[in-house]
Order: sequence, then structure tokens, then C-alpha cells
Amino acid sequence: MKVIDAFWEERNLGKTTAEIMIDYSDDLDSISEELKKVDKQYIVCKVASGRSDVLYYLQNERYKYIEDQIEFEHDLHEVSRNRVMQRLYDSLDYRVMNHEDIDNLYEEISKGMFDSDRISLDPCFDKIISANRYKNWIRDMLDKDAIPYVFSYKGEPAGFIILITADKRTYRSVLGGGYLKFRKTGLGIVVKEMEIVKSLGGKKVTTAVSTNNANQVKALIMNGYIPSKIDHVLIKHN
Amino acid sequence: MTNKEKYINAFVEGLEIDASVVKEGLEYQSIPEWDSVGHMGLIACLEDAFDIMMDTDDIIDFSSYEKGIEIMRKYDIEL
Repeated sequence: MKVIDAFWEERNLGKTTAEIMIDYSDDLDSISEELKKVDKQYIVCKVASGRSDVLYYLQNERYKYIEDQIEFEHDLHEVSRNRVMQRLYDSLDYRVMNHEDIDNLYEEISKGMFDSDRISLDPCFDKIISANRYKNWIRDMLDKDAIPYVFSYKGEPAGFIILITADKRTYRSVLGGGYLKFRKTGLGIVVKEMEIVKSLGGKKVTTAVSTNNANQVKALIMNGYIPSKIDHVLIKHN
Repeated sequence: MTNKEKYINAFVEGLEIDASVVKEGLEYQSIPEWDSVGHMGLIACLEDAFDIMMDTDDIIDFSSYEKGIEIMRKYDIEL
């Protein structure tokens, strides 16, 4: 069990926050003891799937279920796409973002790109808080050598992803989204991280997605991603 | 089958929905089935039904039942 003081969330959400990771091996008595010590306004618990005992316990302690987070990974194998998917895949170019692209990204986030995010969906927060949180997160990542890419359709920015890596073998796609003009177009099916990571010399790409974004779950599977882990996410406002 | 019936049937098969839902007002993301994955299925079914290959501009613009009818005219298909 890990208890993380998510101090950055006080800036993002205006609340002191703890993130708690509970895995298969944590026993319920220890979990209960540790949780009693957590004195924060907003608590996020990520519970390894299969721990129904923990789910029951947390819900009795007034935690509320908000989503599952599915970890996915891809070993960069060749993906077989149907003819329509391939045509859309081939229609998107990508490049590393410049400053203008990043400014444009922040504007796009303000238009509601992450409406399925747990902060947007939480009645104690709202979409504006969620959008500002994402912008802060992106700024923090870019300060730490994350690589932002913009995808373009016929020269027009259509979406983005951000990659990070610790060892240049495994890359993580930490964030991505479609720009407003292209959100109802089918382009959401296009997943190009594998091609990018291969070009960088990487061997694997990982990502995580919320089950509140079922479309993205489907898109990842259609592009050959395999689920590696599932966590249930419960939250509590004190 | 008339062109209209083929058009409606493409929605039924491509999106795996009931024919009763396929009418004016049906739009991308107005039902859970019409997401980017469903959109691939819909376009593929339309191409097969009418023996056409749609431009990517038209795949991207195909955002509703009504818009689709307009797009199909570009391929000389009247509905």
C-alpha cells in the first residue's frame, strides 16, 4: 500500500489530496489502519481489481466509485487495420509540437477535451477545474522532458499525445486527445504512438485509460493494445 | 432493396442498432454505438453496400444521417 501526498493537487483542485494505491498483497487490517491516518480533504484510492473486500470496506467508509483505470501496453507489433481505419491512419501526419502548438493545445483543452475525466464528472469539482488541472499537468511534464506531438489532418491540427520515458525502451503515452473540430469524425480510432515510439528506437509503449472513456478503450484494443492491469478508483471528499 | 433501404441497413449493420433509430436527428455520438469504432463499421458497410470508396474528407464529414445523404450524392447515389 502506498500513500502519496498529492501536494500538486492543492494548486489544481484547491483541496489537500492524498492518492492511495492498494494492491493484491495488502491486508485489510493494515489498509484500515493506514487510511485512518490520512487527513486530507480529497482522497483518491486506486484498488487492484479482484479486491472486492477492499471495495466493500471503502464503500462502507463513504468512498464513492468513480471509474476503473485500465493499464494497456503494446509491443509495437504490426497492426492489421481494416481498410477504412487504414485510410484514416494514413491521413494523419505528426510532428513534435512547437510553442504555438502548445498554446493552441491549452485553448483546445478549455473547449472541453477531457469531459470524461473523473474531475469533470465529480459534482464537487467542475469542467473548468478539470481543464486547468490538465494544463498544469502538461506544463509540469514539459518541464521534465516529456515529448508533445501534434497530429494534423491536411495541415490542420487535429489532436495530440504526450510521451515520457525513463529508459528510452519503454515509452508511456501519458495524455492524448482530439481537437474540437475533429472530435466527431472517426479520427479518434487512429492511434499512432506505436509508430512514433518505434521511430524513437523504443520497444514498448504503455498507457492508461478510464472506463468512462469507453470509445478510447475500444480504440486501443482495435490497435493491438493489451490490458495489463485494472484498478478500481474510489474517491472521498472530507 | 432501394437505395434508402440499403442506406438504413448500413447503419443497422455498421453500428449494430435497430432500424427504428435510423432517422433524421441521428448524429455521431448521439448514441453510444456511434463512436469512432462504430463510425469505421458504418463507413465500411456503406462502401460495401454501394460499391464506392469514400474520400477521407467525406469519412470525416459524415457526422449525421442527414449529412450522410448529402455526401452520398457526391457519389451519384440518390436516397
